[in-house]
Order: sequence, then C-alpha cells, then structure tokens
Amino acid sequence: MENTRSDRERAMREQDRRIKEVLEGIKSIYLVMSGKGGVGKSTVAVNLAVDLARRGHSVGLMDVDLHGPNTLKMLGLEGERMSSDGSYLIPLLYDDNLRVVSMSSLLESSDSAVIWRGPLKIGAIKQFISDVAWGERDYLIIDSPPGTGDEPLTVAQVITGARGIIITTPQELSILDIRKSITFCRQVSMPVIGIIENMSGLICPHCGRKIDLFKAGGGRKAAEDMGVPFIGELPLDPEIVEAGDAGEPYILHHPESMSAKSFKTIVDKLLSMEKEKA
Amino acid sequence: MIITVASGKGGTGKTTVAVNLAYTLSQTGKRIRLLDCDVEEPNDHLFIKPDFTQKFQVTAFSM
Repeated sequence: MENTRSDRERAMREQDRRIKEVLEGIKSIYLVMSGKGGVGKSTVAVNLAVDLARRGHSVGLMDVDLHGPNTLKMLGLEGERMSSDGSYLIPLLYDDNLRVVSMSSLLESSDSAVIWRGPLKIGAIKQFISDVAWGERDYLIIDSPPGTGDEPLTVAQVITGARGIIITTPQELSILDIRKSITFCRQVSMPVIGIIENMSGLICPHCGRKIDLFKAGGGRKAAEDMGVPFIGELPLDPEIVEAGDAGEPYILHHPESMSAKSFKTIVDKLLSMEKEKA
Repeated sequence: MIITVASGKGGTGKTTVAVNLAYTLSQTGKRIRLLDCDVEEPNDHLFIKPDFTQKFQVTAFSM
C-alpha cells in the first residue's frame, strides 16, 4: 500500500513538473468560455486559432469540452486519431502552424459518450497538457463547455497564465449567465480579456437589412456594467453554420464574407489590446 | 411520470421546452413539479417568475 501511494505521489509530482515545462513554452493562453450554451464558443475558438495560425503564429487549440467536443468536426479533422511517440501524444495537425487536441480524437466513434464525473475530467485536462507534445507555441486557445463547472475550473487552477475570453449573444438570458462567468473568473483569479458579442444581428439574405434576432447591444452593456473590456461584435450568418458543419473554418473559406471581416477586426483588436498591455 | 429534458449541445432550447411543457401540462389540471437541475446556470425561474415561499440551506462537501 505504502509503495502504491508513494508511486502515485511521484507520478503526480512528475505530471506537475511536465505541466510547468509545457506552459513555459507557451506565450499566451486564452480560455474561450460562456455561461450559456450554443452561443458560439467553439466557432470563435476554432476561427481564432485558424486566423492566428494564418497570420504566421504557432498555435495550439485544446478542446476541453469533454462531453460534446466539436472542434475537430469544425476543422474537417473528424475521425482522425492522435498517435503517440512512446512518451507523448502527438496533437493533430491542421496545418504547419496549428496543433489540435480534442477528446473526440480519443473516442471510438462520434456516437461514443463520455460518462465521467469531476475527478476523471480533471485528470484528462491535466493530461491534455502534460502528456501532449505541444512544443513552443505563441498561442494556446482552449475551448470550454458552457458554465462554471469542472472544465473551466481545472483550466483556471492548473493552467497558470490562462485568461478568459467571454462569448455571449445579445439576449438577456445569455448576459445573465456570462455575469456568472465573470464572477467565476474573479473568484478563481483568472484575468478576463473581454467580451465578444456573437449572433449580433442577422443580415437578411433577401433584403439586406439587419434583423436583431437576439436583441442588440447586450454584450457591450454587460462589459460596461461588469467593468471588463468589450472586444467586438460578430453577426449571425447562415454561412457560418454551413462552414462549421462542413469542417471549413469560414475565416479561410469565406474570407470576403462580412462575418470573416468582422472576425478579423476582432482578432486585430485582441492583438492590439495585448500589445498595449505588454 | 418523470420526464427529463436533456441535450448534448448547449443553446438548443432545453429550458424553453421544459418550462413550456410544465406550464402546458399544468393547464390541463395535472399537478406538476418542475425541477431545474442546472446547478451552474439555473434559468427556469426567469421564465415563470415563481413566488419563492420557502428557503433551505443546502451544503455540499468541497474538494
């Protein structure tokens, strides 16, 4: 018994050492989160990772939505499995600059369900850092499930230096829920970079006029109320849905669309906010 | 009868369906209990604005 316990303690110390080592090689870490589901976290995380990679940065994308991982599907990497070099898992390569890790690359099929409670989820997320050959990265983008549960909590506690990017739709319900996300960040001492308002109006494909399907301006107001920066707005666009389902990030495949242009403006803003801070 | 409203994806309308299902059934004279098990972001009460008549202290062990 004694032996097993000290073995376990040694393994945990080794894992902590390895986590520290990996994190030292990563310059900026963003946790994409929201209080409400279905507001576009994965879409933002995927397109942010792809756009940063397109701009020449080395990027990692880590999907910690263990129960409903969707990033691989959105990148057209669905069904690909991670391999190992004997010591470390090799992340999937989207292109030369973008490495991706997701639960779905470890599951038997896309219908497999992950039925885990807290401790297993905490262990998996730690391994996503400690056991993966991330290499040196300019950015690590982490896609989180909605809410303030085990997954974002583990990121906050384990991944030193992670900062939150909070996604909301303009609707009041979503705003109420992201206020909880901001409170969460404050309680676990994770800095908030700012809020992105997604699904901010739909341009009618017939008449070209804007329809505020989920109201408008809620994200900006929440940012003011809660004292965090407002990063920008992204419109609702049926092309984004098509692109996500087809595994073709719209930032690359529809670069001239209004959505892609808004997205690039948001990435510009994010990078200039970072430069100002540095 | 116990009905669980669930989904793998967020933002698909679980709360909207649960609340409206409960309300519609209650209009048929059935006695209904609506239990909001979303411990992180409970929103049922925003839709039906109930009068809370009782308050309990609940504790959970922490890690």
